[in-house]
Amino acid sequence: MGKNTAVSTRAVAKTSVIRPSGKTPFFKVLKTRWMLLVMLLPAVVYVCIFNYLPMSGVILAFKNYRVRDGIFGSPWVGMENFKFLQLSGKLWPLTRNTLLYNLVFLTFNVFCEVMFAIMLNEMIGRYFKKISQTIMFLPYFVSWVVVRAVMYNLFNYERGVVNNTLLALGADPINIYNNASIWPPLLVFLKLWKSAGYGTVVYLAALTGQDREMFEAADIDGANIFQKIRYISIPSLKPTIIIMLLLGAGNMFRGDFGMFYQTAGSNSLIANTTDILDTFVFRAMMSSGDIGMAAASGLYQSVLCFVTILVFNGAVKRYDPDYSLF
Amino acid sequence: MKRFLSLVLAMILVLSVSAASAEVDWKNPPCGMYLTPADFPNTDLSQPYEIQMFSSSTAIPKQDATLAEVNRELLERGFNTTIRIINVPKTSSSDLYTMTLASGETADVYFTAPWKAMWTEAAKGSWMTLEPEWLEKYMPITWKTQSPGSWAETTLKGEIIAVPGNSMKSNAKEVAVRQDLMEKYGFEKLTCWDDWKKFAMTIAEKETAQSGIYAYNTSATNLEIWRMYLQQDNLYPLYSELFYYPCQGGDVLPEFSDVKMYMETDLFRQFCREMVELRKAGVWSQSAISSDSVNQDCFANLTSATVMHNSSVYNYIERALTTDPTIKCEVYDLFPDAFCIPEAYSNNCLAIPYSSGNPERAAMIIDLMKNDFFFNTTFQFGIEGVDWVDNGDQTYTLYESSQSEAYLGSLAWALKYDWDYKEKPHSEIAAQKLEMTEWQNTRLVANPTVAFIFDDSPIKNYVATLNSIVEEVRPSLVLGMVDDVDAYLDGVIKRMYDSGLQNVYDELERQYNEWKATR
Repeated sequence: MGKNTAVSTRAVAKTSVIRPSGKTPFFKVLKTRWMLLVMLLPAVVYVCIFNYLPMSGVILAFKNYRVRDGIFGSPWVGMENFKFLQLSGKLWPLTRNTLLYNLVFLTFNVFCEVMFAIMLNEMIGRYFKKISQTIMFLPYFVSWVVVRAVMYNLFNYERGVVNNTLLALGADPINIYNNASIWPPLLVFLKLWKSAGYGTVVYLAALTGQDREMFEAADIDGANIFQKIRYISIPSLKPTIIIMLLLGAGNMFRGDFGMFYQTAGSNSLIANTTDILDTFVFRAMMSSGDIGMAAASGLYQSVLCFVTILVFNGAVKRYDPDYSLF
Repeated sequence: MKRFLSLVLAMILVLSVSAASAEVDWKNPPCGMYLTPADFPNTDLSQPYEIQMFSSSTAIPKQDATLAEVNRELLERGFNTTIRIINVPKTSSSDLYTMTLASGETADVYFTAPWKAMWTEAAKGSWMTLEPEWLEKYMPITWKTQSPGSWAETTLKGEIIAVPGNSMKSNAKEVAVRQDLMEKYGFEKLTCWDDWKKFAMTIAEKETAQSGIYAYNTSATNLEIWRMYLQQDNLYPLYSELFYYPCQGGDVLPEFSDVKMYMETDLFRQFCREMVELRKAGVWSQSAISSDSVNQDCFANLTSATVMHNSSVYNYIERALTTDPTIKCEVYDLFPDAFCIPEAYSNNCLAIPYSSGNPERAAMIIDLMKNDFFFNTTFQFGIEGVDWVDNGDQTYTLYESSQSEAYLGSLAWALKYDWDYKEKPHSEIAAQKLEMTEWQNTRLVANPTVAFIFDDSPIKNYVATLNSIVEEVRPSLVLGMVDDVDAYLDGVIKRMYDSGLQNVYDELERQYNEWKATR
């Protein structure tokens, strides 16, 4: 016991050499915490290679990329590559669609995921809980291509399950592929169906880490289940919810291309409600394959996402600085 | 003296004829050519090299075995070269083209075509420029056997960027139908578009609900019905599949005032109206816009009574007969009075990418594939004696007709020659195919503007926007999903002009007139 105390005292003494300015000298940190730093190294290298290095590629947005000249040798063209976005006259509707869909997806999904996580957490039947969780998680692994095929068989005008049921009930068949108003709720449902299982697990993990003593104390105080959820579970999920919202805000102007393209496709009859920036860029680039223009649209989305995250983080900071990212 | 002079003249005549016959005639090259390293004196063969070839099709089951045979022959003849084929599936090739070429991955030979982003990649500098002197030095046989006019079809801003095909055959669209269903509903034969329309509407009315067979089972990506329809007005393409003009025949170059973006033509408007009629009748599914059905596959698996395509329809018939040998199929030309547009030389090309590790060796391999009897036939038909047989009378017979299309992937499409080495059909279907091709070849009218190559790089923003609009609206128009065609088309055309269609017209006109002045 005495030996251990001596060792820990020495360690504290070693690591607490603090400059008058309040900062530990770099080499001192290197020497004393090298093992921690070595453990961090792979993550730093990964982020540098896959996140920071590719950022140099954004200059392609301002270049007329030529394979033989390479990224840096290709000629500069200023803002020329951004022109096609504006020329279409659809920049605003596309940006609006992308933003609105993401806003709805984010808020609706977070709400539902939190609810599902709380419900699962409160369940007593172990097997039912596990089976429910597995069933909720399964759609996450289903590709949008498969979803498209399933949807086609469900909603096929002549032979789909939905229309056959409607006809059997004496109702008129519906054709979702020429009815734009059906798509917003349908896409919201599809997004929830596919990603709720995954999101629920994140919140469930946060709930599992809650201090059980608080629930025991609440029980002694006579709190019912809804009071415990309101005053213990939800507040303890707040940091996770905010982090998830912040991460979602970082992709606010990036659409789920797989979902929109596979389910709605290139259909002008429903384009008003299903066309987003990503599907438009895909159509435009399909025949030209211009890397500069693709980079320009990517940069446009990145800048908007960056602004969103700054605004969102600022709002969180005002609400509670402890929850902000920076 | 007279005898002496006659003798001298006769000798001069014989010598000149011999000299002329020693020159390789591009129209009829010696199909029995056997090439050796001595035919490529400028190519360094001291080091072994593996050619990386990108094909624009999925691999056939026998690809590895056939390629092994090709590689064995290459090494045996001392070329010190082997070939590896990388298959890029057709559906994703436009995306992968850009990615593989931009990545700088070593690629020595690429199948390319205007419909496979050839020009856009050329504008990006993805292909090596092939100087005539270089071609003569490293691709000596092709330089002699290639049709002289064909090079112009792969020349952009005075630079040759790919080796074109060397065959001029009809690329007209045909329709194959289930003849057993025709007979069931009292149709004898189809002679025109209206006949097909009646047949299709009858199937929709009487057959679809009963057996599930659509008259024309199709999807949003299928444009064959429009390509078929535009033949009636002899609309020939000037630029991509966007701008057309009515061909007058002969070598008459059109006035630019006749050139129109196809959605602006009266014919397309009429087509859209007919498509609405057919969709409402149930000729295809109301949900076809979201379907993944490929018309050709649907015909082969007997869920479509019709398939529209070029002479490949005969292959789909063979596939359908494999599914059910009791059915009967026939092929019809719905516009027998229309011109038949020949397949452009540039429709199937081989290019050497800028990232090639050994362009000279790649050139030699292209030369061998195009001109050597063994390599040409193996790439096109498969292994002799296994997949096809030489009949010994300047004819050959394939064991399966489906092999006549690109035995070793799309690379083979670029190897066709109009050789005096004809196919002797192995089946009734193959015989019908030859008969139809020969008949259509009598109506061939070459596209006089085929050598005009539009460089869209100065207006690429407008072209990208135009493409985006076309890709968005075309599926619903071609599938007849739009009830008020006139109002919708007017809106689309206005949107196109608002997005800069006039700029595309102006640039196209400028370049076309410049080119026309040089003809």
